[in-house]
Amino acid sequence: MKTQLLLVDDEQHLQALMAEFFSSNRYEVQCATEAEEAIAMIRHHHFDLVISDLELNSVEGLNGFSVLKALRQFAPNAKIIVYSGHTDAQVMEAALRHGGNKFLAKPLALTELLANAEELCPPS
Amino acid sequence: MSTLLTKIMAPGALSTVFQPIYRLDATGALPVILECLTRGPAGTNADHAGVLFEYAQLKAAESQVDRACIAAALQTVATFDHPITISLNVFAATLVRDADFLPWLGKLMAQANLDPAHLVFEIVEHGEAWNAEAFGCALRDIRQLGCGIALDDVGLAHSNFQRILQCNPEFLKLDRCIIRECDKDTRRQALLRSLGLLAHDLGSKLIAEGVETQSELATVRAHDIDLVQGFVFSKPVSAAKVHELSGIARSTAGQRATKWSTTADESAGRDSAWKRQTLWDVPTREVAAKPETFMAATGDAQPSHLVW
Repeated sequence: MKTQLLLVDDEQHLQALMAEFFSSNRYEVQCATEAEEAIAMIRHHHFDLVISDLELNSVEGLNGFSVLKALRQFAPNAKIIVYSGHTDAQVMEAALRHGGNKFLAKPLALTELLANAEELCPPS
Repeated sequence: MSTLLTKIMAPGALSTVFQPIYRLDATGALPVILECLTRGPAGTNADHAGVLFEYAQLKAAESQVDRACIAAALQTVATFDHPITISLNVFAATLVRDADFLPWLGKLMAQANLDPAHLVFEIVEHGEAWNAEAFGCALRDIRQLGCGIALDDVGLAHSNFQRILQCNPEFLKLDRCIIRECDKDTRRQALLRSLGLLAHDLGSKLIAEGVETQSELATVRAHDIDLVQGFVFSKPVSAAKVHELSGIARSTAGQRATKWSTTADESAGRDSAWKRQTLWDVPTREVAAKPETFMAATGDAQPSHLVW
């Protein structure tokens, strides 16, 4: 059975690359480009894993932390990897404190991302 | 960047399907209201209705999305060739925050040649913020327009007793969370009994939504709920199907001189000036006499669903 994956990033070019990569590695991929879209998806679909940028443009002030919070509220068993260009200790600690399973620093290496994903959701 | 909201608001992005609400009587079921249900842009995450409306709320774009959904629905309803009572979903937030919404809708209804007496607002409210005064004004305006009010999702989240008191609705739509497996659950049956008493005392009518099985239908019926919506009778159908069913109903109604009609107030057990034609102008006795004709046309349910 394929792992159900939600990719959340407002950089659509990067997201498309990630989607293609994970799709070719036994993942069933869906994408969201805004925090609001991601949260609505989490409320109405099942995901085993979410990979989200922490920085998402939103006039409503929602970001990757909002996605984290929603996932913990509505899908507490799902895993989440978050990443950010801000790698100071405070951001990392906050991400893990809010329920993130993994924190990665940008720029991302797809192979590293896959290794982390498979560690959280081992291939069946 | 093109956001999901941009895609939702693009011209022609939204489409409408229709799910009938049936009235049960001793011999059969008759469609009396047609609920308009929006489908988001194909190929986007918002093609799932739940995602579409959840997203609208999170973006605080309820009014914008409600307007787009209603415009799409009325554009289709305008093509129906005889009066059909419809219901439209509207966020309470839209009524509260969008002061121009009802005048805008009035113009749209006029363009669609839709009599306000053929419109029921299904008020949806899952948010916590509330402005009782603005909401009360909007409700008064709806009644002045001559439209009916249904409170949606009763039993779920914020569709609570306070809302019932504020709305004084003709219809209370019981959420699927109460109806699901009510045939097997005495607690749900207790809720149906209590809500039936409440609705009776308030002068409202219960609508059971999400009725999917014969057994659930029988349980709902046993609790004197005679307005029912759900897959047990019909999944949402396209406008083309409504046209087709309309044609079937008209042909089966034939040349009968006496047309059976119902008004929303009659459905709600109220006495007022509302005059609503039944959905497809089908005489009751015609439906009762030939239930298989009607049900075969709706596709999913078996004719036996109409036999009591």
